[in-house]
Amino acid sequence: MNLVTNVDVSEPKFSINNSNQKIFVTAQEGNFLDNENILLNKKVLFKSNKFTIETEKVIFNRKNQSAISKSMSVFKSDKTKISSEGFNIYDQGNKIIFLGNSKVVLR
Amino acid sequence: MIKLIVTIILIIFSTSVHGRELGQTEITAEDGIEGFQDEKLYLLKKNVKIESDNFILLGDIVKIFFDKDLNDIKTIDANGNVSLESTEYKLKASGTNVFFILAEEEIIVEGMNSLLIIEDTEMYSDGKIKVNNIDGSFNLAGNNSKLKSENNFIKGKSIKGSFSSFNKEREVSSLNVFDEKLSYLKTNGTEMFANKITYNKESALFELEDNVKIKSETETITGDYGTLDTITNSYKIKSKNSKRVKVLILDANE
Repeated sequence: MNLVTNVDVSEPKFSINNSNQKIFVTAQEGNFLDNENILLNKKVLFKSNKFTIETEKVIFNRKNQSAISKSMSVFKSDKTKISSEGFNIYDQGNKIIFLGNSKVVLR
Repeated sequence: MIKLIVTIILIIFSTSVHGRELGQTEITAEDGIEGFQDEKLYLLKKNVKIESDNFILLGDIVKIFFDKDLNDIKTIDANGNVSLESTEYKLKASGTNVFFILAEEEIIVEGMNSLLIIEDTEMYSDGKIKVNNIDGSFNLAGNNSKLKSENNFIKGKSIKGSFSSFNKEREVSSLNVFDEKLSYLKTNGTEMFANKITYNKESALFELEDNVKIKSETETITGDYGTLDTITNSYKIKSKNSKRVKVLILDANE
């Protein structure tokens, strides 16, 4: 039996590199939107040695090494947790904008 | 059984209402947060609320600067209808901008109708109010600057000085008031008017310069220069032109 899915890539993996850190991007599924953008679906995870961001849907731009999500997202670092209605990560991961209603908890 | 259900409901309700745990700082914003890792900065937009064990701050746009990591708050720069309340420091502040340096315990309130209350001392200004809790210094600058405490009322365009603590009571230990129109100071029933009024706790002396007027219950004296000794409650007035000193003695029975 052949299973036909709409998924272009299973378990895609990318990385964002900057001078301070390397951010690994993983998901369960990926669909190419064009040459630069890929829609990452299900258990999308951004992980560096400083933080993680978990969400369900992200558009990742391979050329700019940026990503935008309008799904509920949770950022976690050593003593910080940020919940938001989405995020935009740019400048090679140095800058993150948490979109919409957002909540930060500092320990 | 009913008691158990009620207890469970109360626990669920209390944890959902009071989400913040002891030692945590909770920050909420309606229009997102920008995090700048290199600059160690969070920029928060629209109806921002910061709640910690020590204080609650509300503002429209708030920048939070961190020290080493993005969790140890160094400075808060809040703009737009800002209010700050700290029960620990018995402090209330409101203004257009509030700048709060946590480690240095320094607060700056700016804008029209700025207000800063620390314990029983109230400070008002349409310009800027700056207080450092560590060295006790204060500086009010701008129109309608006023400082009120239990025994003092001070008004001037520039009110600078320092507080000291005596028997856990906050009192003014040095003072420098200036207003090109006229400064005003009332203490223990005596009113003082001058362009410049200074006070030093060590000398226990008020010094008044230019357009001086000292008004007590029984008399009013005017001149160009005056001093008031707070220990003996006596005052002297001099004038550049000695003929200009004027004393108005009021009949106590009037």
